[in-house]
Amino acid sequence: MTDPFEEAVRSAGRGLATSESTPTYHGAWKRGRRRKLAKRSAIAVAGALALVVAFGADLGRFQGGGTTIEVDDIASESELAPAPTAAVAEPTTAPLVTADTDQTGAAQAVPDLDIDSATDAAGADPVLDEANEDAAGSASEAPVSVEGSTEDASPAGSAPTVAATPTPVPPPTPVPTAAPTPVPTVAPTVEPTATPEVGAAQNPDRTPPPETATLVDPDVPTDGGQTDAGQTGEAPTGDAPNDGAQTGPADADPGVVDTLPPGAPQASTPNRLGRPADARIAPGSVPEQGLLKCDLDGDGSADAFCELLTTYGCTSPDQARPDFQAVDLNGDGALETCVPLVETTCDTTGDGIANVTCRIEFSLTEENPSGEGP
Amino acid sequence: MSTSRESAFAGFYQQNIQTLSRTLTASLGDSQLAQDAAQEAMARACERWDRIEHYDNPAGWCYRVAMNWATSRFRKRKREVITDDVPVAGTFESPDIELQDRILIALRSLSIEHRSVIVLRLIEDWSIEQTAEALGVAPGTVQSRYARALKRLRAELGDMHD
Repeated sequence: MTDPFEEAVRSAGRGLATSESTPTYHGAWKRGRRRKLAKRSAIAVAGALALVVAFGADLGRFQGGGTTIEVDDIASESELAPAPTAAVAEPTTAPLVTADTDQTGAAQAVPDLDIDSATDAAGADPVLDEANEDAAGSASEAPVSVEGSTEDASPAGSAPTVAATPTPVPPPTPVPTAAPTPVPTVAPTVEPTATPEVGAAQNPDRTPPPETATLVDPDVPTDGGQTDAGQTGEAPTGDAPNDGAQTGPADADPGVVDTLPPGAPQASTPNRLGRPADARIAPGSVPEQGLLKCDLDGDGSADAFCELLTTYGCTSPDQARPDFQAVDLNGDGALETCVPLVETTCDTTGDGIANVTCRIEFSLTEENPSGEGP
Repeated sequence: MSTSRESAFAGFYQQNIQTLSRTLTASLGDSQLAQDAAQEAMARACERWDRIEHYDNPAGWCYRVAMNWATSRFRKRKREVITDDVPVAGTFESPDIELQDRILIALRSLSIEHRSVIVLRLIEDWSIEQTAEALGVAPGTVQSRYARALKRLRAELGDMHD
């Protein structure tokens, strides 16, 4: 402690004077305050930026989610679009095959179908349930439920029937209804496909109401579905109870007055309006005996005569003109409208889109190349 | 910062700035750098005064901050810590100016770690714990460094010791 060497060093060090003008604390004080403020400002700015970025990201995610939903909806609709086309015949065919081959006993043993159990077995979500239930009454909504069912069923894909019929079964019979019965026995995946048909077979009276059959909705292509069904080769069974419901005006011969009882399922007039027209009425064409010059090949020159067929009111089959059919559109049990049965359509506005049903009388190029009237 | 805190910091500053500058001058061998380092350390202490004022040895914290700042500044400048600069001409309490001058030169010949221990422990009479806290090392390290630094300093000032 009292080492002279240490004392000498201590005294030498303590004798070391600092600068004469020692700065006051204000310099350090102001410096420290300034840095503190700058640091806080930087933190605040960084926090605000982070919030803005995070908020922007959330908004983007939210908007993205909404977009995704819309995209999904669009995609599902597009996927469903073919369904109605191919659907018509399928309900009849697919169920029969399944029931006959694999699940005959089971399918026949359970006539009453539980919608809830069916949807649960198929793994469908509540939306699908609603869609399936709605499908019983509305053919236009049927594709949705069918789509869901087939999607659920296809992955399992144990049943050859399901795999063979890629086209979803649509409308007339509610999808969920049939699902429960055959499924548990064989393969849960088969359910969706088999279900509708079983339900259709056992619930023949659940045919779509007349309103749906009238086909006013241009978005529901029913005629194509019948064509596809015929091409599927799925052994269409003519004895299926709902066959009657499937037969539409397309099957009827044009020119034949056909009337259906008010209670019976109404044949649907081919509704091709809103699609590319078969013929275009020549601009400025003057009706001659009810016929208008029309252009069939789109070259701008009239090459045929077309008769416009418009719906008119009628109360009995006797009032139906050739190529027309008396139908009950409002479902009150009484015939009140005669609708054309012809599938050909004409465009009177010049936009190429069919806006009226018409009948092409004959080709001018064959009988009158000069384009003169008949 | 409230006025009371400002006055508290002002008291701390007035009480420690001279000692801090002196120890830094002895440790760094550069009075101007020591002044800058002391001011920097005090400014940082002001920044965190809410926390620093509750430390057991705020001056030790300031010394450590100042030494780190000076060291980093040295590194940035790629200069050596020990310079040939003569300390600011000051007044020596000891009448033997020549002896004090030799002691200071011998002190600068030590490494920065040994010099810091000698300055804090011997010149400023800090305890081992305070010195350890200020240097950021263990108390045992302070003791060993102090012993080696003192031995080396004695060797440098052999004839004076004799």
